[in-house]
Amino acid sequence: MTRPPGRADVMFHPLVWIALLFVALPFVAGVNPFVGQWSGFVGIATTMVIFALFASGFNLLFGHVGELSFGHAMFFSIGAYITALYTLHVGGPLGGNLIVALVLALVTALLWAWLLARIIVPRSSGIYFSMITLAFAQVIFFISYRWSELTGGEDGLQNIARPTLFGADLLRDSTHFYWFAAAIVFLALCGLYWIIASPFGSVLHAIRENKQRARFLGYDVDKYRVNAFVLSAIFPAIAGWLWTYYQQAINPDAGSVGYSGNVVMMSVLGGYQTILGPILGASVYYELQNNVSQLTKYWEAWVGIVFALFVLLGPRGIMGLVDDIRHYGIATALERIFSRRARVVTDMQEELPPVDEETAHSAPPARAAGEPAP
Amino acid sequence: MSAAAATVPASGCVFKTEGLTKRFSGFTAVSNVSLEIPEGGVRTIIGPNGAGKTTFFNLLSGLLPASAGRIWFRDREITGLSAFRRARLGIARSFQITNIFGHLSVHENVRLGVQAELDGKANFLLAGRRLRGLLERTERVLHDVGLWDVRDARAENLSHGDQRRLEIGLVLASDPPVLLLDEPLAGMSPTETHETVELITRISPGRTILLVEHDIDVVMTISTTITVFQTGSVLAIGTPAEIRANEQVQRAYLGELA
Repeated sequence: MTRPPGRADVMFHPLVWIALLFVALPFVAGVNPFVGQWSGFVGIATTMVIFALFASGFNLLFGHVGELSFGHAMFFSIGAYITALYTLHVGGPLGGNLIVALVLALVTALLWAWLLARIIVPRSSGIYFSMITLAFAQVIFFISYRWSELTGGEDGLQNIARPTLFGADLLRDSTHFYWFAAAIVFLALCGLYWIIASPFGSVLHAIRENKQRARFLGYDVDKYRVNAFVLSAIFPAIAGWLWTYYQQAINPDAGSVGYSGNVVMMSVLGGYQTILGPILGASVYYELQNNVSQLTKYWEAWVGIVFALFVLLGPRGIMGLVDDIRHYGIATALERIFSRRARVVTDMQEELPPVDEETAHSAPPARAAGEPAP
Repeated sequence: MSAAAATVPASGCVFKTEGLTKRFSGFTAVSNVSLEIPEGGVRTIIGPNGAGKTTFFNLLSGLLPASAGRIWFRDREITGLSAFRRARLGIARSFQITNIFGHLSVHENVRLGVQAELDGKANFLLAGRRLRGLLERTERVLHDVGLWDVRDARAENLSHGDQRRLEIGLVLASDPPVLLLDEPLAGMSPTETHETVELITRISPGRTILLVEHDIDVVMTISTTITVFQTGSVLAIGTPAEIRANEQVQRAYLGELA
């Protein structure tokens, strides 16, 4: 009996892989053989781990529930701005405390997510869900962009001091800050892993595969989708909290369509139906951005081309490729990729999350009754 | 039948419909059906294609809202109840066209069916200890439907017959008192048909099974009563012997097969 590809049967537990990656990142992030740069940068590594968390949170919804949110940067931005505003404006005994900042950021993001989820999740799905999340993210973006008195408008907020850790100024040092961020991200990812591996996570997968069937087993599908939406907002908010401290400044870009789109790209690049995918995707994305931008100012075009190639030739991303190589060997894996060119369209229909069946109750499911199984 | 009789409540009806009607644009699939389906046994619905059998199932299970009329489950009206709430009441259904979680393993498919009983419980995330009980039940269901050996395969990679078995496994997973099976034998080989009929017979004590089926030999063998649908209405109800002897039915339906 062969184990099907696409399921997690890696050599180590995914969390072990994540720990190994985070330990290696300061040494390899930003290495660029094209320009003879052989040592890593902690700054790039920090960006990578923060976006690994942001993308993983987004992917809880995209990869595991099958709903593509095009506005998750709003939670990142809320986490970041709340942290900045708190740090700049609150003094006294409760001022400058990183835990207080985190709690405020999470509470605000969760309230907003819960409100949104109640409004939009039961009413929309598929492309409509993507459009409505985009619209609400634009609301948050324009508040941060236009409300200059509070948010500093286009310039954003600067001179945000990094907080002390146990009374010490440890976080001023960028290497220390990296380990701090990596530890927080790792803990948060453990929480995310726990959610996905729990019985609750299994139901999310069932909803991704077949909403109607999940309903007929007795699951309140919309309740699960609402809860997943709210949970998926936690991780971008934590990432935004770290981002403000890392940058020591924040501007409206944090909540832009661009940032929402980047996490889509990272998830697809790494493999969106896996736990490691978005984390790997975030690292690869910033490595590409760093390396290509040193060679050409058109780096975004090249990153776009790489993304397009992945969508067309390997929609299961890097993790899918690794899986194929482990199961079939390199030669067959490559052959599979290139034989895919001829059936790109059908492949996309198979690999991307199913479109909502709500609108087509009577439509036959993917496999018709008489069709022979492979 | 005798085992089921013990569980019959006061009214003795598992489903009762009153003037149940389903209209699609310009076409009435189920027309003013008033039926009482007694508790227990195998209650089969037959009828030519387009007679409204599957639509009737869809109305009972909540897949489609009724255009008019009312439905009771035991003594409770369920006319406006959503599908998942009806499932929680213990009404489980299978689908005519295989409807499973294709990208998940066979084991995960069944476990999800078993796990549905935990839905809504506050400790759902922390269900580690209770999970062991669920896994034991999953194992039992997998053995029951004969899919234990392929439990790790992806559901979409199963043979057609095995997918049909999994379809029944999903229905059995929650140990429901009422099963709606929509053409469970469709596309099965003679051996698979035989095994599935045996399975249905084995599970039927203590449950009510509503069956839509075309295989007339099977229907005549396993049914407690047969309800004949024609163009959205009930043509006749009776035991297999009565239905076989019914002239109207022979003209409308059985005659075609002769």
